[in-house]
Amino acid sequence: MNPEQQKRLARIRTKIAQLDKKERVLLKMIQYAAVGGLACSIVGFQFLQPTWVFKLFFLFGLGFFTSVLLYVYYFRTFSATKPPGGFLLICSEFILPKNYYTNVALPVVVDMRGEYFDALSQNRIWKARWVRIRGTYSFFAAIGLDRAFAFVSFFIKAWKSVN
Amino acid sequence: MFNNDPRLPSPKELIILDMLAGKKEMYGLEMVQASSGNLARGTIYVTLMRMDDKGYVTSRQLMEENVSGLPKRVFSITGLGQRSLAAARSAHAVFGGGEVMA
Repeated sequence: MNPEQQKRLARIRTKIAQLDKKERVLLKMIQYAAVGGLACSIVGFQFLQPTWVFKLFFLFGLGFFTSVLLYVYYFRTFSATKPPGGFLLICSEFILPKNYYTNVALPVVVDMRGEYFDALSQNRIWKARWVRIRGTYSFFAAIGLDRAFAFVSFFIKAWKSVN
Repeated sequence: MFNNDPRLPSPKELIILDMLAGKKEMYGLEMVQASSGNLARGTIYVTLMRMDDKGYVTSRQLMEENVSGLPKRVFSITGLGQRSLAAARSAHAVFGGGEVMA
């Protein structure tokens, strides 16, 4: 690994560490808000409906629902996912000949992952998603084209041998 | 224009050979980005594999660690590839009326 790649890897590791710290603090805050809001809304609906305190507790209840929404959004944003192309590689390793797998399928996935991690390291989530879609399409295009080319060459050879 | 002659590389192969002649080693995505839309991500490795079979290029895996965790395959031009590129350039200069490659 050259010095530039080492620097880049260190920068990515630091970013991941910062994300973990932020993740823990945010998780705790949301958990306390959710539990507190739930308790207040239950007490308010059970005992304090005709009074002004009810309104206050109802607001806490709304806070609880907001917390749940934040919680869901948080997990959708920071959840860990597998790198793209893993399933494609497993399938292609099983289905394709080793030569095609090494020379066509694997490099397409390597390129897709390289672009994907570049986009993620720049915090460009939507670009990373687009790279995943485009890479999957490229993978199928490469495999399809390869098989089509093999079929055509087989057909030409068969035609020549007959004539 | 070169497809009629089976001994000469196809236009896509010529673009790849031209890029590889200028640099020492390149990988597929690098070629796609450098080709400004002439090469596609889905077809580049099929073309390169065909060129490898013909003997125009040779490839090796970079075993060093990278971000994706998988080894990259880099390609370089062979002597046959350089001769084919030179032949295609001179053929086009004689019969095509100009330079096809920079």
